[in-house]
Amino acid sequence: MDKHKELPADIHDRDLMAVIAGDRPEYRRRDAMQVLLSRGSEISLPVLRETLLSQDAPPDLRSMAAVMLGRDVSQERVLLDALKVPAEPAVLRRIAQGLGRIGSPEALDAMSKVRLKSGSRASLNVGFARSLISYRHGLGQYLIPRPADADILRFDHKKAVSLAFETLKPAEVKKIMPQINRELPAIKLSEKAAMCFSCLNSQLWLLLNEEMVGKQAKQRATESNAVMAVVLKYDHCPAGWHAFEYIFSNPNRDNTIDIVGLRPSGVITHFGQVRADKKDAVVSLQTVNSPYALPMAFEAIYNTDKVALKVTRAISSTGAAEGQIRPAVPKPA
Amino acid sequence: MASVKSIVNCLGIDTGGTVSVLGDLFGFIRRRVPADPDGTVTARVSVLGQIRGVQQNHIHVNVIRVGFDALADPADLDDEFEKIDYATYRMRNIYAQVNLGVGRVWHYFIPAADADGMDDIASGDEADDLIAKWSVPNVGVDAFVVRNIDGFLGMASGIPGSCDKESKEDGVLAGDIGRGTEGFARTFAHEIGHHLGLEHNHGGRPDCPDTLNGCNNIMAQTRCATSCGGGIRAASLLANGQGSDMRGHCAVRNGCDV
Ligand SMILES: [Zn+2]
Repeated sequence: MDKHKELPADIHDRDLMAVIAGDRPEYRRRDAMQVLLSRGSEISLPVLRETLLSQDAPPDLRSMAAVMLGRDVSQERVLLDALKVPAEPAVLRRIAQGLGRIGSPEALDAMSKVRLKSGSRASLNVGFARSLISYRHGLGQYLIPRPADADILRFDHKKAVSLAFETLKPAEVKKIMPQINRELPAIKLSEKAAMCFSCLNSQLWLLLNEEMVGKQAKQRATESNAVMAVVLKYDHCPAGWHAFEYIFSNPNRDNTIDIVGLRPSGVITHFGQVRADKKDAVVSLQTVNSPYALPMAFEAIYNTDKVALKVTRAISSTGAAEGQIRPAVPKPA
Repeated sequence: MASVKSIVNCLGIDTGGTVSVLGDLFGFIRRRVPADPDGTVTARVSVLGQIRGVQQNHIHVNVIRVGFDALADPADLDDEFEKIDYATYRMRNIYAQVNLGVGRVWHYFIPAADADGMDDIASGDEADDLIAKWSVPNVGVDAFVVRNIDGFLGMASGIPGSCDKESKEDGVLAGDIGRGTEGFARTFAHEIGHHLGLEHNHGGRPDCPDTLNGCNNIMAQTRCATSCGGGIRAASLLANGQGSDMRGHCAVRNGCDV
């Protein structure tokens, strides 16, 4: 059974390319592309471009190409061109996500033509990608609305546990910056005022956008929508960091700023506010009802002069809050 | 010797009176012993071995297939089921090295329409979402097998994973059914190894272990198995210390006293 065999470990890059471009079964072509990518081979870039732009390439292969190209800021043009080639919703979703990550305002126009089934996860992903471009560039479009009050999870604080956290030294953050820049190539995060949280057995780092640090910070935060911070999660397998939550900011007329936390899928998981208090900014954040986040309450004071975040309360429920959306149960086979 | 029926009862399997040894006791979807991908080797199972396996510490596993109804060629479904059965078979043999049994293996599925795109995973956050959104409310470890993963092979949501089935870290993304059988089976046992508390055995460095035995450990990453180890199939060792860590996990059941 050919299907059950791995590709030989010593297969040459040229042979891999021939498999990818040939008429072998889709799983085999996908395997070949995975191997080529894992080698970091220089020839992988033209193969990825050609695959993504080919209407005849299998959708899974095109999706994979879109995912890989969407991590490289120099490939925006290819993704934009790919939007002109007919594609399955699964491929369009990956192109849009790539543009969300790396795209310029020009991408918003091109993405406005992407139509996916309303209410589907793919459509949520594409919507989030548009918002991400807009918030990154402070365009004031595709804004994420504040969730309804009823969707904020309340929980019994007496049954809460403290979330362990610590301030990170800039030198510690600097060490992982190359990885973070690969993960978020179009957002410059600051090494200052970073916090590490331990939730269950995961390590989460909250990093502020560089735009929220320094003299221009107040103006940027109060005059336009922005990506205020990103939470990154460390994975042991595969070892590395991935974006876990984006914190977007929506300034209000009363000098407060609404902040909304979203999973990279586009699901809203947290909501809170920043309000000015003398030289400091008081930050509060709570969990929004979804199966993706533990109920928590977070408060901190951000000293803009010292660029320091002081956590005054960080607690989490030990289980689901009343009324929280429970995990769905798969069907028994 | 304990009867198959008494062992099956101990595992909490309601057979309705009839017991399929290969289906109920071994958890094979196809109720047949899967073929070994190395055509020169015949896969064999031992009823006595499995009874002994569950008379000692063991885990239960929920294999959750995600979006298989959207596979490019549905005619391949039987091959994919065999791949999952082979992963079960391999995991049982690998964990047996450290006296950890694999008891009940139950199968579940999430149709593509319900998975709503989660059958195609392209990043760690999507794997986190899948594991957080879906959960089987029993004591088994949730092992999700998706139609497609781009850019990595599998993921454990926490090391160790949680036994609280409402937690966001109560399962693993055990693999992508599009892969070759041997690689898929190795990733399956590797990710559940993480869930049971095992880290990569790469020492303090992110690359690979220093020794051949280390490179041939199931907790070495696949790229180490194929570079410094003896290949995907050979890299399936577990050390005694890893065994005691695994047996100390909250998902591990006491042996059946029958
Ligand atoms: Zn691993």
